Amino acid sequence: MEAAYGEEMNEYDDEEQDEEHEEDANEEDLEYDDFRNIIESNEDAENNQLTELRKANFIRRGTPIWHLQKGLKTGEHAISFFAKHGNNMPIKFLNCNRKKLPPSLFRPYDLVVVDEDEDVLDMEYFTISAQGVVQIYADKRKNKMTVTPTEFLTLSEWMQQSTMFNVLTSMKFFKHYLIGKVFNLWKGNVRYRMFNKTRQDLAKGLIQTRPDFLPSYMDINRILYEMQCRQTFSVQRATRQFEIEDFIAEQKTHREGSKSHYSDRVEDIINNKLSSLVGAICESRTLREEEDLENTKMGQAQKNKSMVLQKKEEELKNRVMRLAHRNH
Amino acid sequence: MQNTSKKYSITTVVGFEPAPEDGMNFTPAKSEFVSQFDKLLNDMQQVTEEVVRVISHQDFHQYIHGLITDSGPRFKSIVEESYDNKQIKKDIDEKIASDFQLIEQSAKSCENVRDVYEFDQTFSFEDFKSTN
Repeated sequence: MEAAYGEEMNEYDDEEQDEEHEEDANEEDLEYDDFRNIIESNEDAENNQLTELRKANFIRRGTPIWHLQKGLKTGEHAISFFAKHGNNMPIKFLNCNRKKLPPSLFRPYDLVVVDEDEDVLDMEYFTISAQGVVQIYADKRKNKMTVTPTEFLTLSEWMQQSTMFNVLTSMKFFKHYLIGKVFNLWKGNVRYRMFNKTRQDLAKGLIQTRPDFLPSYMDINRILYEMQCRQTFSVQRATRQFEIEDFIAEQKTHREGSKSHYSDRVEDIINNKLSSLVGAICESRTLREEEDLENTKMGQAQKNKSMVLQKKEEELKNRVMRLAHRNH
Repeated sequence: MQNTSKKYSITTVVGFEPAPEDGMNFTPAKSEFVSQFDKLLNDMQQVTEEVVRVISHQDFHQYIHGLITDSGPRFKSIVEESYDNKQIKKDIDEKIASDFQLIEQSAKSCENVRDVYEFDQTFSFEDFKSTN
């Protein structure tokens, strides 16, 4: 009994499943038909709309073609529009400016559609049409606007180059190239400024730059140059033949002359230049004592001087004192 | 013998060695040239080395005594170790060697007159006159 009851139940289940499949098939048929109808009707409507749009001779504000034109914001929109519709639309061309971006970003293929007056066009602008993209440089400095088409690219070429550029700039090296370049420039400038500062600091402390040392330093340099010019051998340009003993003897004579010349110059440096320099430095050392004495006399002489003159004299004295202090 | 193409030159005398197999000799010889020029270069350095340095000068000693020590590099050692000095020495040696090579080749032509030279050495006019 149990087995028979089970078989009946199975048959009942199979019938139920068959009914469900039939219902699902009917529903699917209905959905497919509906969808097809919807799509076809939409396509028809779109085609009708496009046909209507193509019939328009001009673009009037508020019309669908006007809304369509307003929807074209970027260069990519414009290119896809012309790639799709070609020359069949009332919109025959669109002017674009480069997209305003911060200087750190280099995006030459990013354009913004300008649907207003031509006055808002930049010096460099682009005209996109069904034929391609023209890059134009306008010389607005002159009164009459002279335009010179500089480059023409077809839409496919423009898209290919734009895509290539985007692919390349997504790579790490090219992505950070400009920032890296600017950073290196900045780094170089900073290093140069630091180098200049160090050089100036060194130059301030150099013995050659101190006024007291300067004349002596120049004289000593001149004397050293004279010594350098005097050679320890002599070969005359005139035609002459020597025995070797004579040649050696002549060289010896010249060498002795050079030796006495060197000694005289060194004596000159030491006795005249360096001694006078030491004397001058010693004198500048006593300036502070004189300054102290002068301070005690203050009050009498300064009554007759103007404040500006007093200030100038004070500055000069301070400067001399600083130099004297540095010389030691 | 002398090289006439040179404007400023030092001469050497060519002579015959007593033994014919020894060829020719030169006075002064090549080795003497080399040694003389070597000495000349040393003397030139010596002259510069002997110039009194400011830091060791007696008149200036009072100012820099204790401030600067004379332990710095020496002129002679700087010159001797310099590439230029070595190069000049090498150039001089090469020049002497090449000049002597040239005159040795030229002197070979004088070998032909050795008989005349030897005859002149042994010939005595008095003997000749007495025999005749």
